[in-house]
Amino acid sequence: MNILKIIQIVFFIFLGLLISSVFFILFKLSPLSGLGTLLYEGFGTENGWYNTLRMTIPLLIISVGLSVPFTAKFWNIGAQGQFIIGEIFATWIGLTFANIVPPLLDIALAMVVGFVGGALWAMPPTIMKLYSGANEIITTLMMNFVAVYLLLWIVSGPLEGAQAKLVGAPTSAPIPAMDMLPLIPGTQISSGFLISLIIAIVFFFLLRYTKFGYELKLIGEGQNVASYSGINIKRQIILSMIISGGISGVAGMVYVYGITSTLIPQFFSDVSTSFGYVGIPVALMASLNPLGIIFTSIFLGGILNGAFVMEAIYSVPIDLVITIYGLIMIFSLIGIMFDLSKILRRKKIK
Amino acid sequence: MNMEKSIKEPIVKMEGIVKTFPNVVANDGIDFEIYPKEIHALLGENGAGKTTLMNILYGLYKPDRGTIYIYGKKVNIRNPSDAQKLGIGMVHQHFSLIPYFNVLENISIGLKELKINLNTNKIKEKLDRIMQEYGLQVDPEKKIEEMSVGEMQRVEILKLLFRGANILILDEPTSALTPQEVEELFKSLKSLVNQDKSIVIITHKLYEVFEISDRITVLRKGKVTYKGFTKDTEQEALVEAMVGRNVVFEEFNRKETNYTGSLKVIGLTVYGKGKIPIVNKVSFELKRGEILGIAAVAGNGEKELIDALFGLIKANEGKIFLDDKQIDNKPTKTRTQLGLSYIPGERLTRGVAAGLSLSFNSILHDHWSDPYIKNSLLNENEIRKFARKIISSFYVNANSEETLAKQLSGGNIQKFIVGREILREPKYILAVNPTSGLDVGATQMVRQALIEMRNSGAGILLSSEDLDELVSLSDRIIVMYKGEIVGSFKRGEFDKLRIGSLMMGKKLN
Repeated sequence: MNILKIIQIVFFIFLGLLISSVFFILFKLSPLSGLGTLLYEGFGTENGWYNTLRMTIPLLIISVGLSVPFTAKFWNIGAQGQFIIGEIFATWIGLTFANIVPPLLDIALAMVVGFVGGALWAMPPTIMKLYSGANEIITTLMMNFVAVYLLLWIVSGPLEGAQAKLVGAPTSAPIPAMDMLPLIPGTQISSGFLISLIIAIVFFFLLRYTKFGYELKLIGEGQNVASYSGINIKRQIILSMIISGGISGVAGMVYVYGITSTLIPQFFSDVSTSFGYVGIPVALMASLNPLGIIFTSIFLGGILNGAFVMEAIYSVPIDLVITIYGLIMIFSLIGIMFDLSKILRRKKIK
Repeated sequence: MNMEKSIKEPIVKMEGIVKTFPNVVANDGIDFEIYPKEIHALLGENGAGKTTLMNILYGLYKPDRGTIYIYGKKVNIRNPSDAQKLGIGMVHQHFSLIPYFNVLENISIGLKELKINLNTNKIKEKLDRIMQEYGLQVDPEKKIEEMSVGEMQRVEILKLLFRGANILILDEPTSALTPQEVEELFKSLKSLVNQDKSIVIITHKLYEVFEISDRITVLRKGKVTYKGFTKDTEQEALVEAMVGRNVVFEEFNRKETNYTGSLKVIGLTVYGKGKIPIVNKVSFELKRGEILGIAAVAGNGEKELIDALFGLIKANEGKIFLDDKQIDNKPTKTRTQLGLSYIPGERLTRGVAAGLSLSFNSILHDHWSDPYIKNSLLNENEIRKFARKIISSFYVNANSEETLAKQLSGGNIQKFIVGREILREPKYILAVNPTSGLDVGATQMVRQALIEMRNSGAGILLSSEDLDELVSLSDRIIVMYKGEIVGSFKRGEFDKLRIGSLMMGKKLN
């Protein structure tokens, strides 16, 4: 990445902030202090960082998982559903085995089962695409809707917790505290963050240095050259979707075991839990590089966190906050995707 | 219009047309005329410049030099809509219809009067009238995707007539038609001419030329080599104009070879849509230390034959043996590991992964094992070393092995592909147009490299649009026409006129 590119990204993020200011003014707030607060709450305080990382953990894991099929230009839009199924499977393990097996075994088991759940959820669209050509963008997206309602049914039926009946809001019973992922000593950060970092590093390695990663890149370059190279395209696509769905499932497990401790229903309008959707631009912003995704997920996690703090503390309307979050995301994406040098070159040719 | 005048004056006159692409002069000073009420056959081998010339007339390309007159008036055709205003319409080889739309909708696309008001009644009336007038019937409500190729073509022609075209250019109109459809098309073309239209058909099928055209222009390597009325034309003269004279080419250092082992093909058949064979019971044996040329006009099954040999498409019937090992049921990977290489015709989409570096592109066929992969991990030092070897041995003009393939020019990509496929030391090479788009020096280098591979024991199956190339490199030449082998020639007996006639479906005695 050259200097020009960095300047360009900063410029577009700044442009996004500038347009956000208009919205602050519309709501009779000072844009400078508003944006300052947003960034301060996200990245400026110790507590802010803890909360930012809570948002970052599932986002980071999911985005890294997405980078695998995206490298082969197979567009998995279903990470949200795969995440939810991972949550459900892992919670079920936790509630069933928590007091029977040692905590470490429970955690390991939940992680494996969460992976399996996410991977299974990713399979129908993959198979449909490979054997009948159904567009994966549509089918993976549809699977999300199914998952959301499945979750709603699970927490108000099979896995409904006793306390939920009292409060009247459907949730599962909590995973016992001793079975939760421990905090990193001396901090308020879940060790789930370490897990997500390890996953990112492993996946960087997978995509950059292995035969598998190489073949995915060739598939991404087109069916023609991939089949000419003798690659078993179907097998590698299925494998990439098992990994991507499975890792989204692991994100669901880590989210429950590291952050919420209970299974909570989701709603489509809820940005705070739409990790599977936000994960898509997070992965693209980092050009599908898992090490880059560490930074893009922390950045967007921080903005998201700052936005929620603003809503909670300064009673800024949530819609305004989400609008600004979206604007910043869009503009940083433009900044990264936009190839300024290409346009300059084209001008010169003309 | 005064009859006397209409015969003398061409309605289209192209004068001194020159068009160059990188490394290729597609049109080299061409004069071309279309007269009223005639069917004009524009004949030539692949790459002779026919389509380029017509694309210029249709406004798709801008000529580097030359002038165009329509009805004696000098015109500047900047784009197809200019051409349409002048009454010129073109049907390309690949139709430009939208499969999900019906005929009416396809014809309506881009019509000015429809911009605001989508009233198709008027359009339907006009279409009905045109269909009546010219005897071209299609169902206006039928969707394109439900149509046969013949029907789609009729829609394309109707589209042009609807827009008031007087001069219709058809690019290889019969290439995908059944014999009955061809007959029908010819009937319609004749009735169009009777109603004052002029038609150019681009073709390389001899029998069509004699059956339907009034006048013939032959192009070869960008130049006009023949012009005349069909009724005054001898078949031999046409073939010679297309393929050139039999001249002696400079010989390469061709060693006597005697290697054991062969690539044997027995009864290979590939079906296309509707069980029509594209490759029809093809059998031959390619020995090691031999170059076997395939002479065919593009679209006669030569591409499918080679793709089936490499495992890219399935052979429906027949067997393939590589050194007595049956490979027709084996995937591409196994075939490459057994020593098969392929220099494909589609260099940008098939031959390289355009967005990846040259080093990644150097191991497309060899990324399975030692030395490039160790324990499933890329061994980047070895990969780079091999890429550098290709770059230096074949004079690929690239900054480094980390340059992306798409940053190279077409010629350099071709040199890189040829280098990769040769330097992996295969036993057999399938080569499709290995020198297309290369300059003279690079062409000579690639040909020399193929001869050296042959001398050192590789068997090479060479398919080329350039008959001269086949004649100068091959030990044997087989001719394919409509999926079948229709002739076979040994070195020393090569006769371009006979080969050329066979390629075009005629026998010469």
